[in-house]
Amino acid sequence: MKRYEWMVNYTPQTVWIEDKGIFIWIALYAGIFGGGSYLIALFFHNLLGMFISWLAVLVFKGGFTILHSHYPLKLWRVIYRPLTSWISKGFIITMLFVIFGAIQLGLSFWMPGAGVEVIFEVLAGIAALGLIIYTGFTHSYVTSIPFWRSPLLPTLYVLLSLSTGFVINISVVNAMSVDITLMSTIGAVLLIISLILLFVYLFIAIRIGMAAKQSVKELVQSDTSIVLATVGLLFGILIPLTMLMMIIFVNGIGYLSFAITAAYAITIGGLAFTYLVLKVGRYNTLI
Amino acid sequence: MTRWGMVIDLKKCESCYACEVACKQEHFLPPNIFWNRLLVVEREEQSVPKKLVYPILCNHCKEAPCIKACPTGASKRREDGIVVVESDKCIGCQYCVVVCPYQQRSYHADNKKEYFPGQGLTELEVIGQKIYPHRPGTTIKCNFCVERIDKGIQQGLKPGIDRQATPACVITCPAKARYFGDLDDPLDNVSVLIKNRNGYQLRPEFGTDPSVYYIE
Repeated sequence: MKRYEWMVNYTPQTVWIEDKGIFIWIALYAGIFGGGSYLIALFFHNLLGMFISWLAVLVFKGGFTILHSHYPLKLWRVIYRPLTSWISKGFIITMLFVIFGAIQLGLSFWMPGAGVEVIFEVLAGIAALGLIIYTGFTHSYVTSIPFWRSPLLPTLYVLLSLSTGFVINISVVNAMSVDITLMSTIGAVLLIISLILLFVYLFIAIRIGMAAKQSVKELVQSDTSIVLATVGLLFGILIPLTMLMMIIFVNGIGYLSFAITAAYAITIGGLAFTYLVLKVGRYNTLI
Repeated sequence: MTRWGMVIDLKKCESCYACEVACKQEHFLPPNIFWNRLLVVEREEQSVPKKLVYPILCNHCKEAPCIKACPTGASKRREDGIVVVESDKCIGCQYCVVVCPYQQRSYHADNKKEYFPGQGLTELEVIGQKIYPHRPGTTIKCNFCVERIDKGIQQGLKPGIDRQATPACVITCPAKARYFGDLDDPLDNVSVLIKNRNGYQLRPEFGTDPSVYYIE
């Protein structure tokens, strides 16, 4: 963008996608990945899945948040405005998830079935749900970027998170203890709903205003975005959906290779989708 | 209660960029960071080309989304309406930069960026970092030259009238297109101008209630 076009044309959002802003992208996706996977693992009592999700949030979300901040030792100040700031809410939710999740994992490993384990399962589950939800609201709170300002965006993130959760857990769950076909069916349904909702979201975005329309145009017309959109759609939805359909087709027999392929694909697709949402955000013009 | 605000006369503005330069000098702003800018665009009105020039700066909004978005409380609104960033509290999350609909906040990454790359910092830049340090890794923005206002009030001067207590961009303007004063005082120059000359805010539909008005 040329200097004289700044805020006269639809100016792109750059601070959360360029330079150190790239860490925000990974931290946001880690929350979606970890929250959804943890919630589904909790539901199916899959300890390995819970541990992987918890570790992903701790290492990737926590690590990249620290890397992004110029003053990581001052990050504790982020708790000061939970009533108005989604960053503050998200930080508190993440901390609660890490703490409750750690306690719950320990209790599930050493004291399975104890009453206190159930309490921490509920607390960790609520924190995981908060982790999924807050990412979308961090975006939709930004009224200055019309493409983000939609109630469908948090919904899309929730669906993405839950479908990621199902796919990841299928690849790590003990096949003797759960119905793989059922998990695959639910995962596939969630992916189909995500695909439909994605097109609805884009359809509505075109009609919100010129800035949002420009974002959609950027999504389908610019070279980078076309590649990423293809990667996002292909890896995020189509490949995992195909793999889940194969698992359902073979009735769960020899499912592991399909599940692992789907897990890798949905992770790449989720990263691509999160990146695209950040990249194509456009501000309204001022004059 | 005082609410400092600014009125910009678009008819008088000559787009000389003196305000942009004065602001840069006053605050020793790092490269590529501007607290005062000019938006210049050509539009066709009834087949006649027209040049529109809008000097823009932080609007010090009454309903500032940046203050609500700030997780640490670094962005705050003073009692006199000036929105400031306390750099010692800022962690550089840049949520306020993303949220601002006028895009008037800038992230200051580091102090090592030179105006002349490869030639080291100039003496002016070195002095500037001592006189008016900007904390790296934090968000910075226009503060209505709050130091001038505060010092002027202490000395019994009136911001908007006495030059030493008035923002640099206002006193620099050769066309005298800028006015500064108390928006809550109906007898103040700015309030009279807004009332008599139909002063308007930039993009009021954003719902932020800016303290910067424009008259034509």
